[in-house]
Amino acid sequence: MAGREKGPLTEPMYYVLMSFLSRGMCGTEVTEFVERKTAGRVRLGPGTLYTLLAKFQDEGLIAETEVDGRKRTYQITEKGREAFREELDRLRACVNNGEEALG
Amino acid sequence: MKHIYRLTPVSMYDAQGLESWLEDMAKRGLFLKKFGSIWCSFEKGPAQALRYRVEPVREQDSDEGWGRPSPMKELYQDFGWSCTANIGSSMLIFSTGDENAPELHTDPELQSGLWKKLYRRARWSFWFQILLMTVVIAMLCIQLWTGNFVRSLITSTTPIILLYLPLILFQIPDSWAELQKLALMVGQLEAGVPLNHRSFYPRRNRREAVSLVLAVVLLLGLFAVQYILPFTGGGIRPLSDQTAFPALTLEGLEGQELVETGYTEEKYVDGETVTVNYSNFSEQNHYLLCWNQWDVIQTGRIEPEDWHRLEIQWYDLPNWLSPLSVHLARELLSDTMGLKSNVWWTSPEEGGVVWTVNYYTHFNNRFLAVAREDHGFQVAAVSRGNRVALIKYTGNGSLAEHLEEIEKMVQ
Repeated sequence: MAGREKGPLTEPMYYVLMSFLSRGMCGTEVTEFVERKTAGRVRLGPGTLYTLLAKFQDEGLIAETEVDGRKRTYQITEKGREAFREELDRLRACVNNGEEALG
Repeated sequence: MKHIYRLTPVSMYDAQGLESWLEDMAKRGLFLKKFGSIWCSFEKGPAQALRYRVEPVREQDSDEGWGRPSPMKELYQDFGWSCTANIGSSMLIFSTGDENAPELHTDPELQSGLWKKLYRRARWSFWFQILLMTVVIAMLCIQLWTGNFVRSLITSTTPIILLYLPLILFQIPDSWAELQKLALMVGQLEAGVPLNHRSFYPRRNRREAVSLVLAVVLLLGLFAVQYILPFTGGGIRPLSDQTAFPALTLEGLEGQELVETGYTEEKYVDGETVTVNYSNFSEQNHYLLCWNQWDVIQTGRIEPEDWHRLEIQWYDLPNWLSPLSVHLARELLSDTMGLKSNVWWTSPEEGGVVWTVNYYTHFNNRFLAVAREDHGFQVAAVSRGNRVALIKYTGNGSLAEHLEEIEKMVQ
């Protein structure tokens, strides 16, 4: 199955998609995950997070799985995993190229 | 709770100006309840430092059924931002008093996508406004070109449309400036520069309110002129009810006894029951620029089957429009002469209509001309001062022999 068709992921996109790999999460959990993972380097405001979640849903990379009161839980889809793997391969290639260039 | 109203000093697309104004209002103890492009309503309370943010929304971000707010509002709420008001269906205003609540956007490029959609919508609506204005101007030019301008100015909604044009023209520079501001904002976000939420805003913006009031008044005027005025003349009534001017009579033109024909009906006019003949009647019309206009129709038959008809259109213009009376008379004359052959009084032969026109008076504000078509249809147009009349006639008589009576109609 093909992953994301709209070019490489930005850093916030990459980490948001990564947050769903282990389990389903709600919005605030995603923010906490990203901040913890990047040691506060990448911060997500609710506007940015909502835009990303809506974008990923539209592209079929994640899906809403549970609504409990105000808490909405999303999970990554197979297409989302594929898109993440592609991005990871691209980043690996970037790192390898950089290291080769440095000697 | 008592609501306090204030004129909105900025356009709805000036997000930073609007946010700054709302924050200043909150510092004075006025908290936004409802947003309007002309005025906003506020609730009074203890002064507080609040942060306001304007957010574009997508169609799919609208509230869910059964009073459930949209996922967007719920997520923002989780981070301490509550939705205060909406700006139409395209934007929402969020506010927070929590100093620790994170800024809504941490990725300017991603945020630019939201504003770009709004910019495209605003741009489309701007060009639609220009297109609409061009169409109106084109329609007015066509009227001018086809020689019906004075008549449509006097008997239609054209004067109101003419008043609308400066109003729209007056708004175009403002709309363009708003559009440019929005484009600048999108450009800034696309370049990765976050928005500065503090910006200058004017203290008052009465122009928007005045424009809106004028637009509403003109719209009501347009409606009244188009749909209410035509019913205020009282409908058709007997010929004898017309006393505004001494009308030329069909009998006087024919010079012999006519049999009055036509379908008759009892009608309730001005509190009295009168018999109205639908082939012999008078009718008063009110127009915005000509309050006193009459149509007088006379039909008769000379035994056994010789039908004759006389139609008079009479206009009493306001004095300040008297310079247009000669133009109106000329327009009415040429318009009647230009009628196509499928009209009952002209020749049935295609292209066979030949007119002979005699101009008797044509100077200053006086005009009198009689035109005769080679199959017997006659037209006379007369004007003097602020009065104008058009006479259409089919019969054995000659309008040219009744010039004095024709002139008397407009004296």
